[in-house]
Amino acid sequence: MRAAWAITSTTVKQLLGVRRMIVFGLAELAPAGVFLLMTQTLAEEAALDRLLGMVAALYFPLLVPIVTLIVAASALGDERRDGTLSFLVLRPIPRSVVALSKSAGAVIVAAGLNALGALALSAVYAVETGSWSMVVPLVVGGVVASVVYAALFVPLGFFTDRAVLAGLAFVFIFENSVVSALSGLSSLSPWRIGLSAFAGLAPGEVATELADFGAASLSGSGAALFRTVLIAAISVGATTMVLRRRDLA
Amino acid sequence: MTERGVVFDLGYVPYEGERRARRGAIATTYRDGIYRVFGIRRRARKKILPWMLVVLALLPAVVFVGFAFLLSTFSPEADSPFGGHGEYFSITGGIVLLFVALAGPELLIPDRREGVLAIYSSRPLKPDDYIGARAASLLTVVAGFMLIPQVLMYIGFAALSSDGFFSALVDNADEIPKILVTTVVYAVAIAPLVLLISTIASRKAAATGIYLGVLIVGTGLAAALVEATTLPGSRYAALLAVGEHADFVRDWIFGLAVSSDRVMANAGFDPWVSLGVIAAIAVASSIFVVWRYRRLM
Amino acid sequence: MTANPALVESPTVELDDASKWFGQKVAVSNVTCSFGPGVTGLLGPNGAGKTTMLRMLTGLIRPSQGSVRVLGVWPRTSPSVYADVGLVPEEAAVYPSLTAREYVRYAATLSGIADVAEATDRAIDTVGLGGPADRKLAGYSKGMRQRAKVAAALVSDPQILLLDEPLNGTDPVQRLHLINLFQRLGAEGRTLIVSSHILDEVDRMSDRVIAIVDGRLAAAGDVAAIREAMTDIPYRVRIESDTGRVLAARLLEEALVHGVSVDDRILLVETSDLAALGRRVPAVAREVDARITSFQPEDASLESVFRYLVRR
Repeated sequence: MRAAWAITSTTVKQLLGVRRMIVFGLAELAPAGVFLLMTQTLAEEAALDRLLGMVAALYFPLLVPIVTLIVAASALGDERRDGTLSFLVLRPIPRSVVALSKSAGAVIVAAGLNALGALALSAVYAVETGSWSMVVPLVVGGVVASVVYAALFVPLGFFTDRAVLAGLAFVFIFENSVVSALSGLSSLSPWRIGLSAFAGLAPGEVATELADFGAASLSGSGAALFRTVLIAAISVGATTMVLRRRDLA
Repeated sequence: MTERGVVFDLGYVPYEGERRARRGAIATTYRDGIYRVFGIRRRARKKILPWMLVVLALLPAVVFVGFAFLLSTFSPEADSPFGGHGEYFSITGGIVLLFVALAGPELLIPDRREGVLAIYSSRPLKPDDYIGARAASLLTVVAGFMLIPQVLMYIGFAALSSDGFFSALVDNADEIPKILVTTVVYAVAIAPLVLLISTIASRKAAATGIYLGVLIVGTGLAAALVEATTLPGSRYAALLAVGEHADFVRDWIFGLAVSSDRVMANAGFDPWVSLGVIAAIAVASSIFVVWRYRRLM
Repeated sequence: MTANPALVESPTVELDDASKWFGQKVAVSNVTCSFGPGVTGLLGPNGAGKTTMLRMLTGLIRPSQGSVRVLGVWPRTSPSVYADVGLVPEEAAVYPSLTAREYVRYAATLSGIADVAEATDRAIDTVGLGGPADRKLAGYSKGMRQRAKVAAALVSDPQILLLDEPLNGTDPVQRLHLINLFQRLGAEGRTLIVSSHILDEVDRMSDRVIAIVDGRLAAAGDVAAIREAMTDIPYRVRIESDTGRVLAARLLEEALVHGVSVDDRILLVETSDLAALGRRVPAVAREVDARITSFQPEDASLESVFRYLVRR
């Protein structure tokens, strides 16, 4: 347990340098800043429309994947490329603990940053409408999407230093083009899983209204959480297998 | 030979050839930059992605020319499924963005991370020479990406024209300055920003992600601000649509109809404003990059 | 002592017909040897396969053929054995954002040490990094990083220590300190395998050497025994005498002398039995009334042995 915590906390420290915090922090707060400016001239009832527009067109499909991708691809990949992986694996701890702790570190950083963005967006909405009902759903949705993306990109980052580009191709070509055309594949789209979690927890007919923004076939928060846990478990298992079987030097 | 020591001739022969000094060092750094981004003289794995993007950039032009050849009757612009030269820049523009997102970090970050800047400094190479050579490599690559398919199409159109090859070359000669100017615009719009980000970021993956993020998310935010607010001055947010200034200028040069989702047009700006933004970003980026490397080397 | 000098009694680390290839390149080829308590030098030219061997021993890479055992198991399948194994890798891979103290503490925590703070302080003091221990590793010189890596390997008090070029970048004082440390650890009964190019220092700290050339086991045992085993390469002995030519002429009559070259006062004598020559030369010198001022084997050192092994 102590070892797992040590790996996780060191990973968080490595992934969150001062420069990254500033850049990612600004990126996460930017949509809220834009939304704030928008609300200055909007009627209250239009605020929900605009919030959902920001969420479905910017936050989930662009911001969450890009931030998580950069963070998660570094978590294990940089250890391998910098030659410090032997420091971790030549310890009397199971490889599964290394895989889980590294993934947890990536999730904490990515989810933390994306939660900041979600919090900022929903806080602006709350200030404008007096309703704080979007805070928890949006933060949960952002965290869920972060977990799924991290689960995919931590092992990808281990295998290639082009993980960011491969991930962006996945996001823009597969998720934002192919899945948009073939809605039956939406359960394979991490940001739509996050959006489902948000829609399922949000009050009112958010899920229906999100369909106007092209986010169709949302499955509900329960299904989203189940898929998240499943994908994360498979990812940790696969990463463990790789650490056990592959030559690591 | 002295009383206390002697040196034996073991066959060492000092280099007596030409010493190319500073110009040679600059040329070598420039050439190394091009080799590096294409993975030349590196493992096969390093070549896959860049050459795949080259093929993607050329393929539509080759397909179109081949398609027109098979049809036997040919009338350029009107029959082109890809539109003309102007529209083709959209295809190559997207691909070159991906290439530059990989190439920019590859040119600058490994030398810093691996601590070899000192080796460059120990040669007759000033910091400005080094960064100038790297920038020149990137600009050459971008220009090549944009120009080569255009040349292919231009010559292909002319070769298949019913008016005869040389007549078609002359008749369509007015496209040449447009192609050249648009190429320069894209190169200046794309390259300096990625070099700026690669100067700040310490990891290639982060630089790639941040660059594409700035282009994509920045443009999205600018569009949101312009289209959804009526606050005084909100139109100036369109200047943040970094990803579309080159396209807007291209539309202007080729006289193409402006797309309805063109943020700058929606904000009421003229294309020369985009040109100004491109120039300003290029100048500001260049100043910062040169300043940073003068401190590092 | 076993019959095969490449094997030891009561081994803690064993390779049994171990090979490793990467595509067409064979890095280690059919190596059978073992290591026990004490310091063993692992020698070989660049690219000989020493680092590959160490990586197999730690379980970082899998042997393509044969087996590797550390304390009776292959570490990859039994991570618990890592509590007794420390590695100081050749590459300068540390975490630049951590201080040396944080780095060693991290190693201690991952190794399951109960009193992490005490173990950290002890390891840092052992390698002499007490003063700069709270500076970030990014600002360390190569030698200081090396000491930080040694501290991280020692913090868990391992029974087996694998050191790949541990003296790289260290200054002479640090080097002497580390050599004394390794000798002490070896004397305590731990198994140390030291891969190094600094031959005279390996000579000083090792009880035994394993030489690898082109991925194959080239020699094993103590240096003098390996040299003696090179019966196809006679010893060259440098003798200084006031009557060089007279002594040379008399030595040529001895059966154990293969050849003599003489330059006034300096003789270079070739023999296949160094010890016997050492006993015979004084008697011969008395016969011809020659005074011997120096008797020095020129190629019995580890460096000479290494050179001969590489040339074969």
